[in-house]
Amino acid sequence: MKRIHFIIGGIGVLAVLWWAFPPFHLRSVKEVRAARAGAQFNPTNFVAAFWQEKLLPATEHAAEATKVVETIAHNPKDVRKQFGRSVGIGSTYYLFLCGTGRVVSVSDDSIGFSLENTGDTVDISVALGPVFGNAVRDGTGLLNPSDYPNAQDYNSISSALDHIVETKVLPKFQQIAKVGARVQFAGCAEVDDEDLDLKPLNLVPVFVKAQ
Amino acid sequence: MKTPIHKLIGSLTLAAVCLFMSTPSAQAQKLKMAVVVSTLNNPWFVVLAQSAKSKAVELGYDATIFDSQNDTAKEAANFDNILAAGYKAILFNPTDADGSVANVLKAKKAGVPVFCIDREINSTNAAVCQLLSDNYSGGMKMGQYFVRTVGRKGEYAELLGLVGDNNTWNRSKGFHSVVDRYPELKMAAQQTADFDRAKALEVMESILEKNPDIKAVFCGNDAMAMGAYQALVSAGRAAQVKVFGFDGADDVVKLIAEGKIAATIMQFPKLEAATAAEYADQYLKGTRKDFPQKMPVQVDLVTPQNVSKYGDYGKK
Repeated sequence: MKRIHFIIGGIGVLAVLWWAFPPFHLRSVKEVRAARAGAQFNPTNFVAAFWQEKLLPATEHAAEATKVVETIAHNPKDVRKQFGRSVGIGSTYYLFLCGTGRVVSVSDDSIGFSLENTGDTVDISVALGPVFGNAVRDGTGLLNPSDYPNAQDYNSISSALDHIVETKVLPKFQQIAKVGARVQFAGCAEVDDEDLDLKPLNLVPVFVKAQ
Repeated sequence: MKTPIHKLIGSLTLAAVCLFMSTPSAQAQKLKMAVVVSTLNNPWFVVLAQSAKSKAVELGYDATIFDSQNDTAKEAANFDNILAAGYKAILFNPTDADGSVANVLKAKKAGVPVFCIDREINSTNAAVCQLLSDNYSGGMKMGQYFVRTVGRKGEYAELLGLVGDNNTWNRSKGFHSVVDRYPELKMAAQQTADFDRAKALEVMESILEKNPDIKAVFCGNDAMAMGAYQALVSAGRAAQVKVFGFDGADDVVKLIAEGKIAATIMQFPKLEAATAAEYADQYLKGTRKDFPQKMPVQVDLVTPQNVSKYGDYGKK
């Protein structure tokens, strides 16, 4: 008889402990996925805010394109030192520049413009089509890889920035880019120390406006 | 005035000092630096570990390599042993971006600085600095070359590395940020082979059986590229299916020069390892404390057109 009481008592104690300190919790897969999604970095939202609040205002402080192009022509080895930004170790550096130019060539693949008032020399070229690379992310100095615990987040920013250039900036540029038109621009360029020919400079535009 | 007795005493003193300097107790005063590597079962990581050790020795440290065998438990045991043995700094190639954070924090708590090499940990307040190949850019460069050489349509396969490692996804996502823009370029199969040559051989054999029309395979490292190439040779398909790797391993660079593998991405393990050892030395000597948390290291695309510039895990 005592044994039965002992067993019932033991089960009761176990039941109370189980209720007070459950060894596991059941959660639906949907709930877990929703929680993870909430905790995940959202590059699209981040970049939308970054573009308006930081990137566009920063174009006012970008290097003057005429000075950069002049340095390329006369002291190419000084370009990196004077105007370049680099992230980490390597021969690649980035330029963030702005200015006004005159469109001198338009094709399906690119738009070329001159910084001079006369002549047909293409000083700066903008490639049309898919945009790849880290020029916009790393060119402005506004973003730092050390701020992101997971490099995948930092990399996803690059994709989202390129997407805006491709879907918003380039189509607008194509609309206003008629030969002879004057355009105000700002953008970034990726350069390698081994690039011996920087004329024209390949620009990824972040801002364009007809003058 | 020096007498012969003074000279004798002087010589004996000098000899005693020299003898003392060469005794084990004096040598034990040499600071110890540990090199913890994810695996030594891959030539690329052997180069990484040996380069870190060589640089540490060159800088005057007693350096030892610890192999984690791609096992976070083994890695944790390595850290316990290192901290108990009084090592002053750790040059660390992690096994898992999340799983390795605890080990680095343990070392930090013990006052031992950790410098990550090649592989990332998902933390910005554990290691002193993380020197990481810019894998995403490498994936993008490879993606662009892939589209140029394979074309804008057709089927291909992808072999992924360890799924817990950020490098796996940074390479893959960089690659897909380009190739996914071409809807007629279809990924027929995507499987992990854990960065392992033997597993890649098996996985590739299986992929070839199920997907006879693939034109190319992108492999997340060169060990897997070698395994995939071996499977293609065995199947008599090496001429039809292009292999793309990632790492810059010597055997793959040689096969690119022979026209048997299409391309790879050269990481610079010797540069990364030596820089990490230098940073650790500067940190320990107190000459520099302000290191960037993440330090990307540029990677280069190696193709038959520029392969002559590369070799021995770097640029010639």
